[in-house]
Amino acid sequence: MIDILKRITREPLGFFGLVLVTLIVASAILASVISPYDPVALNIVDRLQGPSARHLLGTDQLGRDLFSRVLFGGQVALKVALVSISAALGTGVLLGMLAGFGPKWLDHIIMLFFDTIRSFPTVMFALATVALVGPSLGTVIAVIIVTSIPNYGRVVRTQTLAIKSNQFILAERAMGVSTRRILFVHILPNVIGPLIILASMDIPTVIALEAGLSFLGMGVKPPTPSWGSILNDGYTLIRNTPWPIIAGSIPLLLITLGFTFLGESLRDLIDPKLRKGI
Amino acid sequence: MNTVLEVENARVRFRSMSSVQAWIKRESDPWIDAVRDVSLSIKEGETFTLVGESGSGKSTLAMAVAGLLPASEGSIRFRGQEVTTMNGAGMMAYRKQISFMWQNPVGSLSPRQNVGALVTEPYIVHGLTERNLREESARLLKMVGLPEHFSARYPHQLSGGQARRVGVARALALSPRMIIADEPTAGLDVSVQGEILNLLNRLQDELGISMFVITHNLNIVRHISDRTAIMYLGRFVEQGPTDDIFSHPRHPYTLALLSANPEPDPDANIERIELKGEVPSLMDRPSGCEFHTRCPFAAENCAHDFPPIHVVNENHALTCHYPR
Amino acid sequence: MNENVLTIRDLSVHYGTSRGELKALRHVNLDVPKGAIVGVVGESGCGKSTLISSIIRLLAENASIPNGTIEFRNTDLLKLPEEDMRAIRGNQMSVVFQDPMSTLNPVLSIGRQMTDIQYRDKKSRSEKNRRSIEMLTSVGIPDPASRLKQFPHEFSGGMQQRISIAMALQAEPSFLIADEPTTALDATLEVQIIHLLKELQANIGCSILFVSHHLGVIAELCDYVVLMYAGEVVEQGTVAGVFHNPAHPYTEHLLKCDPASISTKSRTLPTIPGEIPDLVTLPSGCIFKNRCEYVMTRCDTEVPEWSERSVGHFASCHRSLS
Repeated sequence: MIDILKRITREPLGFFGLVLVTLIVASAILASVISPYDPVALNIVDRLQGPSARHLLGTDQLGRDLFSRVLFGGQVALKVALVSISAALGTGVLLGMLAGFGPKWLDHIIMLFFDTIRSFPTVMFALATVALVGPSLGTVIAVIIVTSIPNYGRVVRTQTLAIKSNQFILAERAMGVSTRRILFVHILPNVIGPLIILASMDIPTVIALEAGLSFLGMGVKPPTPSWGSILNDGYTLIRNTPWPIIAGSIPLLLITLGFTFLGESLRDLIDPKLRKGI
Repeated sequence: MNTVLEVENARVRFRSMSSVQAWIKRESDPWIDAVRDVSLSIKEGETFTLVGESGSGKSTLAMAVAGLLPASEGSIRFRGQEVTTMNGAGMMAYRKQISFMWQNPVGSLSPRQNVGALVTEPYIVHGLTERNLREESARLLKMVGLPEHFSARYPHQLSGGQARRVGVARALALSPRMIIADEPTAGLDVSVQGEILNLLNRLQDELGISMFVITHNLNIVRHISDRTAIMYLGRFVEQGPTDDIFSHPRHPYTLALLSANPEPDPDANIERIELKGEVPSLMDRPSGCEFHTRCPFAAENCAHDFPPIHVVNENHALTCHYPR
Repeated sequence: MNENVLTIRDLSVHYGTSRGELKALRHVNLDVPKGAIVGVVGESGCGKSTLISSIIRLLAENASIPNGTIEFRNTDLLKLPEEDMRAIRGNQMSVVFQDPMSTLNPVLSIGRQMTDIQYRDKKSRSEKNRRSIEMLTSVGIPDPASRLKQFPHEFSGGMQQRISIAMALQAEPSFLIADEPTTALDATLEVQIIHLLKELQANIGCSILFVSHHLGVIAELCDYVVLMYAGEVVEQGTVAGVFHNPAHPYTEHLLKCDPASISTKSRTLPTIPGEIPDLVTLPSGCIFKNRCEYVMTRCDTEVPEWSERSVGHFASCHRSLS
């Protein structure tokens, strides 16, 4: 693990990605310490200000400090990303391994489930869910989990099918190893590498999805700050001031760049086919 | 000496088409026999070698013996217990007494497990966790001639010979009564082949394990084996003491196999029996003697009549109309 | 003047790895006389595949050639522009690989693949087809005209290898490289393929570089033999000369080790103790010293010279010189 981190820092883009990701994660975790204002405190007198020494990114239409809101919005974004991606990854891996290793009928059922989910456009699916159960952070997370499971599940299934035919699986079976042990001790470590990369590259997508849903008013409820709701507020005020839009976009841009660079250099490092030399 | 393994008229078959397909095509027999009417017995501490070309069914037979494939007919008894009808618990107990050495030395080791974990896995699987696994791993590695620090290595960091030794260590972990070795020298260099065979011979002499060896490499057979059977299209065509088979091969196919073996001597003038054509498909077995399509000595009745069992002596028998 | 089809002199190939330069081939000399079959023997990691890749100039990206020449019909292949090299490959020089299933394209019919490789010839399709049938007949495939429509998986392993050979010899090259062509085959088929190669070689008159680790096959098929160990050619000579009077201790060991050469039953087979040295950090002196039973003090410091022992029989060892 440390070895991989060391090798990432040797590549300029990977290093840049790692720095960005570390910065954003640290600032979100330390939001309550470093943010100069309460993100939900109203200050009507100072509303719609541009950047200044007092308000680094200006204020919104209710005079809330945008810099503080961005920091706290990061908490929401990361919470959504980490919770939903780890849950989707876990479920996807489990279902994928069962589909790949289990009997054919189970494979058919799981694949049918995957295909059903994938046949809905994600945003439509989200809108429908929100219309049914109402907007909340939990809904957003649930929607993201359900729609990302097939992405991971399909990759795991294909990998499992390939590994299943290897001689070592037969060797383990001949020794009397249980199916559960084969799945978790012998197959899982062989499929998890590429998935971690896939997941790290999915983080910005998920954050953007959360922002998008919040922008549409389907996600986080006000006054909780979220990058999407900052953008939404800014959108209505675009004729008055560009600063809320800019404040909401900058972290999205940075985190997308950060995780993409990190994910790509991780992939280059872990994928032996792309690795140079013998 | 006690008999460890006894196989009687075993038949192993695979579906050639699904039952629906068979029904549509009105095929009454949607099966192909990979192993047909095979009988053998292995005594304690004895090495039995099965020789045959690829597709002759030798690995299938080994899998059936190990209980990994069902035998549709006949019986397979291990120390008096019927393998074909074993339940889960019986099978688990059986797995403790036999172990496998797989054809691919590196590919049969789980790639993300280190050597230490690999050689001690049998203990974990069979619930023998009260043992000190670190000590057991050191003991097993020493037994197969690998230094202790190898326990931290991963399969891809091993050479073919080293991986083979790890495979032997794994096979020995539970002190089995019998080891089934599928091509134990496949993928190994000549100099390493010798090392592995010497190791197996030594361990067998020390531990009294029975060995069931499958190979197509005739060169090694005479140095390791007590009894040999030659397999063709899923049947034994000749079976007998290894020394007899090498000195007086009787079946034309045995003769051809033995003479097909190029000798590392440029002046060697081998009287070679070259076979015609290719191995027929299992889906379409030849009539009469199944070897007649390739046999250089085939006469007219070979194409019609199934050959009788020709008994040379109580240990040596073959199926041929015209034994040499 | 030069009667060799291929002459390799002082060839070294290194691979750049994260641990440093891996010296896969070092100062290799090799001759393939016109119309001869030369066997290359060596165990895994001895540089056989690197040797083949450098002759056909398809080395991995991280390979470099610090010194040496590969002369093919009096032109140095290493100095040739890529375009000229491509004209040589498949036309004057071709390769038969170990695994026929992975060299034949699984989704194209045999006939299509065999006409495709005749793209250089300005002939009509039916003429090319006729040529394909002719080639399949020559490698002993029954009923070739109808089998042209079939796909690789419809042929057995032995048949696939025959087809690969037919394709390699289609342009009647003057030089054929056979990279362990019989390793994937069973013993009875191996014999068939060896005889086929010998017969075709006599008909076409090409030279063959036959790479194998099977000493018996080399003894039966080849005129000359080259022994490689850990990236060096340690001995070269006629098959009879080398097999009867091995000059290098490695050759001697290897011949002794082959279980085929031991006809009496033995429970302990001879082995070569020790391991191949690391090719990144090479030891000084002789490469085989750590496994040699005749090791002397000078083996530790001096690299043995490549010297002629008897006419046409070369080896690099200090022993028989002193």
